[in-house]
Amino acid sequence: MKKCQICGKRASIYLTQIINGQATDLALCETCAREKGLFDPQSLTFAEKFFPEVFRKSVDKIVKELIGQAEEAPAATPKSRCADLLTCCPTCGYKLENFRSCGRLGCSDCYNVFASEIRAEAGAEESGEPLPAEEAAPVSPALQRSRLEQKLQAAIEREDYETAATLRDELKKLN
Amino acid sequence: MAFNFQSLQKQLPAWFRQGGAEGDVVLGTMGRLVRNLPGHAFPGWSTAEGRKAVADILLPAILEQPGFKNAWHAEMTELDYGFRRALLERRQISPCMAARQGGCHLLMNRKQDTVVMINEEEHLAIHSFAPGFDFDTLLQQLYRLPMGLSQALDFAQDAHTGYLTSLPAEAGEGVQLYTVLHLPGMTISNMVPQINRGIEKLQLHIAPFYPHLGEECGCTYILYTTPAPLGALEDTVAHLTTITGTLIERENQVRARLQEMTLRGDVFAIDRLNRSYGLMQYARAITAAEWADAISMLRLGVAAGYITSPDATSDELLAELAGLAIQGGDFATTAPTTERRHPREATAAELARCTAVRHFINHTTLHTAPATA
Repeated sequence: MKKCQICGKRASIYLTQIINGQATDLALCETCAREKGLFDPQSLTFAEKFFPEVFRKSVDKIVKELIGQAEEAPAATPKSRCADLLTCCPTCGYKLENFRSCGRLGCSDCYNVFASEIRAEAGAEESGEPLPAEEAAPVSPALQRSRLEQKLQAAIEREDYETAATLRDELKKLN
Repeated sequence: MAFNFQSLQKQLPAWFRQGGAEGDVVLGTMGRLVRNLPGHAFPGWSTAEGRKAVADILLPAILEQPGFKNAWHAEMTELDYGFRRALLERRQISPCMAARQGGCHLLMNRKQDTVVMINEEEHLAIHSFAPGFDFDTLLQQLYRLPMGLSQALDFAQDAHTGYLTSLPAEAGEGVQLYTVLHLPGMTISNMVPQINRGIEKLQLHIAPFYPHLGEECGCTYILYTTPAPLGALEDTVAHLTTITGTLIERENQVRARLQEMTLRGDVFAIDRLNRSYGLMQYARAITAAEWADAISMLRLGVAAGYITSPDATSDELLAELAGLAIQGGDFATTAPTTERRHPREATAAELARCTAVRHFINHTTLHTAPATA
């Protein structure tokens, strides 16, 4: 039975972090783990791996705060219809799942928000054609933000937190 | 000005009455042009307020354009079901528009050759019609309104994709073209399914003009392209023109062959014509399906010289008859129009057709051999 590496009590939480192939083991009791912030969802070290749901909710909340879309905002505008802003058009509130189910789009801005899905539908990815939306002329801040959010979500999913942090900073700059 | 159904019934669209180049085989051309406004949800996704906002932008702008200052105009809620059906049968509105309600507007110019739909599947959809086989005239008509509107309004477009539509596959030039073909020769020779298979390989489609009458009724079809991708409008027009030309040639070959057969004593083709003429002469209630079939055969008879008229051209009489077919608004009834019903159940339209037919029969003569031969 391992002991807490801080207070010596019986450990109930065991963590292993591998960075550049080097493993670091950690055994903690619940009290010390709380004190060190391992239960803090905003911690981007161990918690992000071991409490993914808590972490994801936290990131979503951060993103919403960043763009002024706190959950408690009134639910009448199209933007507030977007429960998940990363797969949702900020202009009309159309969701990616809607596009997947019927093949139609909600507004002209959806062309930029769902650009990769549209390309996939058209089979353009396989033929290696250029990505029209990415090459398009200057886009509105709302669309730029939406694209950054998509990239941030993708970075989080593949656990690429360095890129996620950079994208988060870019989102902050946009505001 | 509000729509007046009675007035529209009396006044046939000019594009339907006039002939044109290859007018016997190509009855006309149709075009559909769509545009959307940026920053507004497409009608299928927008709210009632959103549709109203779009209509508030588009409607005043359209009513200022030449040709639309005194256009018929109505919100869809003002149009009853029968009137919608009549417009749908003429293909002046789309099935989607026929089902629309509040916030969706319909405008039609006095010539009835251009119909504008606001908040259909797209914010702005224009259907335009031209007689005969003349895409230049059609495209001029079709682009007149959007060109005028583009002075005051921005339409949603992308440099690489073209005009943006609710269906990504339809984005591009925002234009779809049709030819209305009358192919009785190929129909009675059972060649249409074979033609259909060949045409699909050429990225075109052929469908009955009156789909609700069933595949076997009438000999009128629409040949149409998919919406033209960006920069491909000229190619699309050229492609459709070429294929239509091939079909005209093929239809004329079949007709010549049928005529040869008739002159040699084969009664197959002439029997169909005589039966149709007899139906028109003696029937007292004609269903829509019978009507469409008989009109096609009479058209064929007129073109081949079997039916002549001493005091008026048979083409004019036929145009009046064909016009009647699209006036009643009863082609789209849910009742099976192909079934022979008891005369007591005949609708007013079925009886009206018989009255009109009497006029045609009284002014024409059916010959046993082509009058021109």
